[in-house]
Amino acid sequence: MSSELYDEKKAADIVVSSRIRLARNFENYNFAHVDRKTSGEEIVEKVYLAIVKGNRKYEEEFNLIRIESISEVDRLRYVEKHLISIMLSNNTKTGAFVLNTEETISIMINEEDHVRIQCIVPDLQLDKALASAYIIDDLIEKDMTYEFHEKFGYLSSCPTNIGTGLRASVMLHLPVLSNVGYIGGIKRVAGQIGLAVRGIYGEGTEAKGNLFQISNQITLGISEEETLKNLKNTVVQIIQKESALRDKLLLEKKDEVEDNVFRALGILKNARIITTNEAMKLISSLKLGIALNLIQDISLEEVDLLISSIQVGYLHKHFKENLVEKERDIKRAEIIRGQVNRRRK
Amino acid sequence: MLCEECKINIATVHMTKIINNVKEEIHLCETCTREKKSEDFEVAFAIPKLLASLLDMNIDKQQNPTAIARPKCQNCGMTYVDFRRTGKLGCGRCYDSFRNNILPLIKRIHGSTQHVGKLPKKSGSIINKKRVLNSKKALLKELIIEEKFENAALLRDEIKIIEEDIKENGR
Repeated sequence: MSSELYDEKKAADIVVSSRIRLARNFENYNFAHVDRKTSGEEIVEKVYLAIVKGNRKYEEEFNLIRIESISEVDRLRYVEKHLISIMLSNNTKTGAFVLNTEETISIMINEEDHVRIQCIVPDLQLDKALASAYIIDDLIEKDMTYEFHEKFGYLSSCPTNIGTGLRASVMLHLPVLSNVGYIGGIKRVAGQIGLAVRGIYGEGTEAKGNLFQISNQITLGISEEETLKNLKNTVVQIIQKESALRDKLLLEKKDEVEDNVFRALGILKNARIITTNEAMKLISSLKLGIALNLIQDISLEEVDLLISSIQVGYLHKHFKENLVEKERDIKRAEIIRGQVNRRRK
Repeated sequence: MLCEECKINIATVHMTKIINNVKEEIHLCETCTREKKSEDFEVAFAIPKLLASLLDMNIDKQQNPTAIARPKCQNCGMTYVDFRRTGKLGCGRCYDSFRNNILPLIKRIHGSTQHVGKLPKKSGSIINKKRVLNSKKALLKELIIEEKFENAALLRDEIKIIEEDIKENGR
């Protein structure tokens, strides 16, 4: 078989998740940033009802969560899990979101747009995520009328989001490409074809642990299907490149890679104080080690869970106290040791 | 203390970052600080500023900035100056109120000014009909140029029916 063929196993080691976001606004209301007070609450009620009304299954599955009713720690936790944006978490007046129990679908209300429907699925499954988003989109539309312009499509307060209102993104773990300094080049090329490469918490965040998010920028004049196709093609090429470099690395510098991976494992197993940044870097090496089969008794899923449980919000929630930075670093090291040293069959 | 990045040099630069209300201390050597700075620069290059700068490019061309300040949306009261400052429009009608001003911007961002793709079910059916109508009108022109008058007559009748349908059911 040709090595050019798309290797699903290798892709699964590199792709963390796929995400779809649809931005929608309603007719006869000003955009959310203008009119927070009078119509904000009304929109929250209407959207939630539109989703669950007359549907027993959805009533059980979807919960309405108001930002004002949850603690700051919980807000941060939802941001860390990518279920809500920082912007929504700051709207303590009318911000709310509807979340399914699986935590794969989150409908943000009164963020930058009236509604942002978001679906996150594991692996490279953009079509599946879009299909789920469409189900919610159609449900909301049954009850409410979207602001739609014949020429400009679905309207949004920011002209960068008009048209389809679709933002599709794929999260990738690219330790080797990043290490050899190719990310800058990828960013440039991606920019030329209307894609952006960013850190894992979206706009304005840096890449931690070699995790990158690649997403479309253009939403007008290109259909949803076309958008997904472009993104997918580019992502597949990046995966192939990362994958080829990993093979080469293993062939030419096995000792160095092993040294790097097992040093990381050693620190993670033994550290007593560790910052998020250091932990994310070491975990990135650990992930690479697992993907390259150098480490066999820890799974990638376990490591992805670990990433989520070393973030500040999780630590605060888990230990039910407000920790200062130093205490956090100690607790973080404790959690990592517990996970990495856990006895496995 | 050693630099957190390279773990070789002594850390001489100490920074405190606050992101999402989370405080984080960073200790770096001079070389790594320089590299970090260029990363942060990319981050700081945010969208609203970018939009504003793109809009300013329009103004230079039109030479008369006072004329641009005037447009105001009759629906939400937002002015074009507000939009230039924030990069955000106030309501759906703003798109028509400031149409001539923002059209070049939209073209520059998306490379297009015409939506394709999903339509809402409600207003969408009319738009769908209009899409069909436009393509039929284009075809009609071609048929006339090709002097295929019989086919053109049939198509003209079809167009009439669609036009009446749109008049009855839509805005």
